[in-house]
Amino acid sequence: MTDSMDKILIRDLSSLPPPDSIVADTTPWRRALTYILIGQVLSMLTAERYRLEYVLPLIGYLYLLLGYRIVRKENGALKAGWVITIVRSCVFFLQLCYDATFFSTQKADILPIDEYFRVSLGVLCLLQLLTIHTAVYRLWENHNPPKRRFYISIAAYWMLVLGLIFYPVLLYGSVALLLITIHDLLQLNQELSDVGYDFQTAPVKLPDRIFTVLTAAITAAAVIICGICLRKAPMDFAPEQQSSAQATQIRQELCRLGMPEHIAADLSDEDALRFSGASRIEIASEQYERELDATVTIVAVQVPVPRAGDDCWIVLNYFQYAGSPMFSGTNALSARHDVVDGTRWWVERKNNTSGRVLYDLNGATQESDFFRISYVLDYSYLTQSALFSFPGGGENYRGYFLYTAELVNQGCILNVVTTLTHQTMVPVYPAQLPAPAQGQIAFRENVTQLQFYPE
Amino acid sequence: MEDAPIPSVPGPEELLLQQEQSQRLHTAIRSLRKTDQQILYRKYYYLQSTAQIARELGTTERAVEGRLYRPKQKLRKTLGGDLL
Repeated sequence: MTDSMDKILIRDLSSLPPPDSIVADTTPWRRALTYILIGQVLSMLTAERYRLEYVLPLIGYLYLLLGYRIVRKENGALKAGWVITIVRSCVFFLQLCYDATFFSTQKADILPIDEYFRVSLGVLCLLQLLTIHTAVYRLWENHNPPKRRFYISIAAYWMLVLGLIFYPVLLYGSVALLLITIHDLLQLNQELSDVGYDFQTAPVKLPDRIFTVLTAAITAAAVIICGICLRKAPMDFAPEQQSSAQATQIRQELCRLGMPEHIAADLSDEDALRFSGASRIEIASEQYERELDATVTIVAVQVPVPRAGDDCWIVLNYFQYAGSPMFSGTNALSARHDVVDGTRWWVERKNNTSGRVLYDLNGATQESDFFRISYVLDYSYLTQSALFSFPGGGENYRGYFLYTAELVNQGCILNVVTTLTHQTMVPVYPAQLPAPAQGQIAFRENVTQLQFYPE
Repeated sequence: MEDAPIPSVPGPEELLLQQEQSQRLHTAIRSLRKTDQQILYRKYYYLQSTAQIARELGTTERAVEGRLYRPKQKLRKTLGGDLL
């Protein structure tokens, strides 16, 4: 029943348009379509500077969520777009968390997970563009749809099919479709406002601001937790085994030749046996670059070889931390050996390098292999890099790796530069591997060099 | 033949009164909470049905009627008996 109050309100309110804030709240679909447009553009940007490849898509997905949640009930295409937005956002969220962990630095060595992320986000993005375009077409269908939109839809679907076979079609087609979609959406927004289209909007419980803050907070918390819990290389520490008599004897012989006792004591039995018949030792422990409270020592030991006349050395690279530093991530011990394409020194890369890391816990020694030892042959240098992490709560953190090098050209110098790279507490995103001599902000280094003529 | 009744046109005095009333009503509406303003505009400017308002706000028709009743009562109180 309409009372006199109702008549007065109808008469008086119709004479003056509502304030902009009321219009925005009552016809939220205008805002929603704009959000969808902004979100789609931002989510497709891949600027790889200042972490924009993460920030821009993150803002884009937020806009898409804010926009689609309002208009998802208008038609089937917008509903499909809403579902795709949720899936895309979840995949991107997983990628953000993954990139904070150590495993993202391993790339294709373990699983090409970052490739899976890239391809799935690319396909989902294209599907989303198609749903936006279809939604626009459905909205126009109700009043005078131009024929060209029908042909664009056909072209878009064929492009998807071809793009799955030829990647450039997918890339350039997506850009073309995006430009058409931007134009159509802007035109649609205006036309629907002009004709007073009655958009079916879905109820929204959380205001935009609270939704944005909540989503951003949850994402940030998840990324931080993954970064803290999963930033270290997985190691397999176990109590050290007892030493054999033969290995003990070899260690004593090495000490007699001049190897420091604490280094000889840390050799595993298997590694100690490699030094059988050692005749000479050269040592370098002076560090010409020292940013850490740790020592790096290079010990070269001459050992006999089966082939007469050859000169063979085992190069032992050893590090030891002073005190109990904070281990916030993955560290590396690397040795760069001057080989000049094998004309000076020959270093076998297969089954040649071995080593371990150790620390003391409650009076007992714990040991583990390195997580991985990698090899890079670059500008006549062979660089071997061993990755490791330590748990906290222990003391006397140390380790080594060693390899055999054969002198090919008599009269050549043995030149080895060994670097200990340690990750500090500076947060790094995405997760990084230590790279010697690269000047990474989150890492500190100590460097030692050994140079001498074997003859 | 009888003359048809002439519809009454408000005189200048009545028009002035209506204008003043309208202005006071708008001032009173602006003083309401934003949520109350929104529901009044939906009902009396956009002429949305109670069912549509309920659907878009994610609530029941009964709740919408209640949310309409309260600001109307407030307006009646603020403007006194002038509106009736």
